Amino acid sequence: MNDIRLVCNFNIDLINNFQGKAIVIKTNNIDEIQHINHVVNKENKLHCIVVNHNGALSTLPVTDNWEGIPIHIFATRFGNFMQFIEQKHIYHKLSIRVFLSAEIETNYRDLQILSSFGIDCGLYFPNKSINWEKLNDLMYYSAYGKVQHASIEPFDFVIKKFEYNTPIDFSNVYFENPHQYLHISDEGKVALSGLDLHNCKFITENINDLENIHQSSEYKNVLNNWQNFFTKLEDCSCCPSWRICLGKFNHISDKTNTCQPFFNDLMDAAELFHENKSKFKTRELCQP
Amino acid sequence: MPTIIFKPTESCNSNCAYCDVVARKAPKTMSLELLETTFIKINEYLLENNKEKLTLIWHGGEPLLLGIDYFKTALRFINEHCKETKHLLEHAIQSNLTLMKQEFIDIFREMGITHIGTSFEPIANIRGPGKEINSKVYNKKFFEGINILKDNDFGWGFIYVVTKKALSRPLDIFYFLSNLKLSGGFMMNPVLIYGKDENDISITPKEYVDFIGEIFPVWLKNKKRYPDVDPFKTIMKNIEEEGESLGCVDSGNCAYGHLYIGPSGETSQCGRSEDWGIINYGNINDRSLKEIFEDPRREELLIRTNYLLENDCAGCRFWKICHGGCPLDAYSPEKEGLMRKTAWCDVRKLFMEKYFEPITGIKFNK
Amino acid sequence: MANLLLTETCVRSCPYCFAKKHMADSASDNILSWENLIYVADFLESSGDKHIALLGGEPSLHPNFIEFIIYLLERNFHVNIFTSGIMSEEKLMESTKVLSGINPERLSFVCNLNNPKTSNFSEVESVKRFLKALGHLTSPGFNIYKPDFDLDFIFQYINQFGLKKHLRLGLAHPIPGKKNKYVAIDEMQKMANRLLEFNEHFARFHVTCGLDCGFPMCVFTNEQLGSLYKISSGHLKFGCGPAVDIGTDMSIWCCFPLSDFHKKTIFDFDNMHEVVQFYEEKQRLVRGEVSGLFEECDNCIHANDRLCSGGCVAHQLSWFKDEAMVRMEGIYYE
Repeated sequence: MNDIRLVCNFNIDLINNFQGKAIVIKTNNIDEIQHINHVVNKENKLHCIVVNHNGALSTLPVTDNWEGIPIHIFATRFGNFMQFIEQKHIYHKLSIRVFLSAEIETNYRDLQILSSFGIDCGLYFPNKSINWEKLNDLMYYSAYGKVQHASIEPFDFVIKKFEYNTPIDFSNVYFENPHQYLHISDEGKVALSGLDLHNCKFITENINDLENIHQSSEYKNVLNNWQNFFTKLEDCSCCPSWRICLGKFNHISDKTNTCQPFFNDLMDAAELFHENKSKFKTRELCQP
Repeated sequence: MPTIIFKPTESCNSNCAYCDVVARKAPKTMSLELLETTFIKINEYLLENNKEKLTLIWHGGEPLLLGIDYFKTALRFINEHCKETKHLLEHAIQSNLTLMKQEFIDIFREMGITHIGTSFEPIANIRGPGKEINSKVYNKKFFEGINILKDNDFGWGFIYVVTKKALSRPLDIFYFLSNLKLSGGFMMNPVLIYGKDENDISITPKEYVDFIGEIFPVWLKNKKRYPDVDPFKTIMKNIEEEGESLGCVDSGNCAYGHLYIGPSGETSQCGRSEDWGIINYGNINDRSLKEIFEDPRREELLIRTNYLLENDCAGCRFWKICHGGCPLDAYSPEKEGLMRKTAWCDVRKLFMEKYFEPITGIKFNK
Repeated sequence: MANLLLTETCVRSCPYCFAKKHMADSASDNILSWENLIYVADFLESSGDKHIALLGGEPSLHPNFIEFIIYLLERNFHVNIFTSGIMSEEKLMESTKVLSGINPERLSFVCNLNNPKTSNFSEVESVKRFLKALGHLTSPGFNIYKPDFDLDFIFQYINQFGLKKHLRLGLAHPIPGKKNKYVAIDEMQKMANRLLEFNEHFARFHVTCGLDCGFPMCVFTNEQLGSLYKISSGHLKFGCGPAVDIGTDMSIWCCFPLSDFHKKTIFDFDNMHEVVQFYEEKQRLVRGEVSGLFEECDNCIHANDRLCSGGCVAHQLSWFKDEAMVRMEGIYYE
């Protein structure tokens, strides 16, 4: 299970249980960032620090002390443009990706601003309220923008990872795909997602089971959950773009006017990227 | 390479609405003694024809109902009786997967099988066990089987049978089947009802054509997304390769290439001919495989091809990709026996003229 | 470089306004969105062009006026803003705070000045406030729409507010289908003579002058051309080509006087080169019918060697408008 990454709070006692693991640390305290980096990288490898900033991005005091530390910031909104501009030069030095909530309409255009500035960014979906038209516009910008700009997730992930014969789970972007990420409570209990962790739904309560988790039938069942869509001829299983969505918006009743056209367009973009990638293979030059 | 459709059992754990094998027959299973004889005869044939290979397709009924021990015994017989020829014997299997277990996989792997053919149906109560045709139970077991295949890196492909219940949703069905297996590998066949249509699922040839006709442009536009979908892929391939890769139904040369062996050792031209009780070649207990493969009645099938070219099919633009279709489909005891083109000829023609040619712009010449 | 409209409303109502037709056809509350700003910035950048002019209406009326400028500067654009200079005190204070320290090589204003004698008091005061605050980033601009114009006040403003010592001189042109004030063809020579009367002022105050498009060369005498050559620091042009304006809704047209002439959307083109080529071709068709403002233009050697384009093409189109729909059909409609 060495390829599975662990997601947990910054809890030194817990982290001391691991060795050689790639770890995602969740924190709300930006003052800890350098310390987290130092502690985690002693026996493990810091995969990313996820900062939940319950406010505007422009109010987050970023610092160039974070240089080289992989950080994901989840902010509710962009905030004041001029305030952000004062810190913009710092963002360019950091290994940072900024996520804004899909709930707030102005965030869709603010992500365009961030991306056009060369700052990697993305949308997150705290609930099911999504402006599909704006989402589509943002996706078009991400996929077909006329000039080079920074990536916007989850579009970039889907576009870059698209393969004809393989489904893509963009939950990866949020460290939520149980094929690759497991969530660990402070007590060492193992959950398959952040939501399961929140709801105390664990697949094992013993951290020592982690090594053999792939043999657990519960874990296997979750990985095969997608098959539940295929026991009936219903809208997600009949969607042309199932392979890049995997039924994440199954709750929506009017799919033909919402998620389906969006994901169809995203898949076209992904396919085009894939085709062009294979057409124009990167030249490899001999390095001295 | 000759193909043997090997049906060691007629029993099935499913009661699919379009299959009357279970209802029509008291299902039989091949005895181990006869199984042993079969492999002895196969060995004899391969020793004499050591430049050839044979493909043995394990069919049913549901072959997994035979049980693990049966397959173990079969493997023992192969190892005992086909020592020098087993490398010339390839195995394939058709199963509904609902009884799949790891032990089967282990044996199949020893037999050289790494891919399994199956079928699937998303519409409720068409495939499934019991009187009520319980598709819920069936699908659950089916996916358990699929997961075992996946865990073992086994490939699988499947057949989808187009029934009346599917006709209103061709694209939904197509996307469903494609999503079920992104790497492709499925075939959409029309339902064939031999007797009374008790479940009201039969379709006309035109309905089948319109069903696949609605799917065809979507497939054509996105061939890479939907790589291995039949009948489209085969039609395209035949055009590209000028008929080189036609299946038994369209090749016009199935005469010496196919053989059916049933649970009592009865042999016939193929599964269909046995179902319909025509072109039987006697029992494996009484004849060698060589005799069966050289049975003079097979010549009639070749003669049919030449006959059609000068009669029913004279001047047909699609001859190269059809050859009058499956002789068994064409058979009529009242009329000219096999010497007719198949009734599905019009289906092929209709599809080509109404959908294929206008959509692709490819025009067939005489 | 393209001109991008931030708003389609103006705070003034100049008699010569060549944006009249476009403004009349647009909703007054049209403003440029962030998404469209980013699209245009990308469009220009992908065309290898890092210069942009912001205009309106009055661009400073846009609620994100300052943010847009900063955005473009952060993307390394050179930004030139065409303004009346008339803005609220609050907006001016904010603009001064944010923009006054920016390198004039990267950000500049062209303040379109009207003669204070013909303007109302509050307008004049507002313009002066602007020039006082941001004059060091500002070049004066003046549109000639009658032959007896006055430039004295401009030299005075240059000295008083420390403006850039370069006057941008425009010539008002007719707008086909709309009435505005402009210099009639038979008054152009008079206009030229008047301009050269300020020759000494230009020299004395070390002010250079740039002629905007549409001045015909032959309205100036050879002697006047010599003087103009000097006061324009040798950058003398008598051209008329697509300026390329982009509306708030991403419509695109050749220039304001021709805002109704083959209006397209930016999405019809892949890059600026295509846009310019498109409108050059359309203008060429007009000139195929009538070479320039004067009959002599047909055989003028300076037209052939491209020293002069025979004045603004809007004049020709205005003539066609009054004719039977013969020439117009071929030129206006594809």
